[in-house]
Amino acid sequence: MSELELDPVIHAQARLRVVATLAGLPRGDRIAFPRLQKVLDMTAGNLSTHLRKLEDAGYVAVEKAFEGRSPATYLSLTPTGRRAFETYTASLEALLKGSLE
Amino acid sequence: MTDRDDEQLDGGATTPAEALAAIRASQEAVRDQTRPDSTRMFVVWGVAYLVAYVALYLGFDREGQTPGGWSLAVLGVSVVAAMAYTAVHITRRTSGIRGSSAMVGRMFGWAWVLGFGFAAVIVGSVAAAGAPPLAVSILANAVFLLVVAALYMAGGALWREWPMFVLGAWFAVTGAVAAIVTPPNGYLVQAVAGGGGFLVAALATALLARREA
Repeated sequence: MSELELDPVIHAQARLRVVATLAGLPRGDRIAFPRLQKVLDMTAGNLSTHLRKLEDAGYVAVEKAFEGRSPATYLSLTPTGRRAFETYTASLEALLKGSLE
Repeated sequence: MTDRDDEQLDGGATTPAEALAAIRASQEAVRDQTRPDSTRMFVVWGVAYLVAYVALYLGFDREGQTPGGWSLAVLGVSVVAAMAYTAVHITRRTSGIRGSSAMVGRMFGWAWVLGFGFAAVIVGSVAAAGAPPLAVSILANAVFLLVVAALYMAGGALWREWPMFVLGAWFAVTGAVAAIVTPPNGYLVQAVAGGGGFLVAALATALLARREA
């Protein structure tokens, strides 16, 4: 399954779930780190590592905010990230179709 | 970084079908956990409507041409309980979510508050102007249902939820029928058609959700 290039940033078990989850939010929405962690059922350290990679690739926007006195981090998919996810999903579908023929 | 989660998918036995299934599962999980559950909301409000309107029907004071005190108390308790449940449910589901949908939700919430406030002022003013008690009873029910019907249709359009829109349209019809029939029989129409309408909508959303899964 390598005729089609699959985006290596997304093509890893944990990051695929992170990106798919963020893409599942309505456009223009951001999710707090602890909430995302709960939905994904990942450890904070693990999630941070993957988010950093996705942020470095320009796929995820990280917004630090203050809620009262405590700091909060909100995550969302950037337009680049959403496009990359859509391309990745389309590639998977193409691969699936190819393997069935 | 060499943690296990970072393994490339095609290194193992993961097929495109499995990766697509993982995507779908993740998106369903986030939707289920962050969006209010329409089925549950419709059941709660359906039961509140049934209880409240049956009370208004049974407690109608035929001489005074107005619902009796205890039935208004039942109406108040049912509505406040359903509102409290709705508020807690929506707050829980949407906590930690910011952005456009939170803003849309806040605007929609204010539409309810201001719509009901306006309705209360209309009813109060008409009663103060000396309208007969039966006319006030008809108007009070109709004007509140007008707000409910309009906002359910608007909400259905906003979130592209057919059951919500159809429910609003149904309330416009049953509210009109209840106004023509007049209290106390109009309240019975509301209990059966209004409360029942919510329960049918709950069934519809539950079936739609199952078909999508």
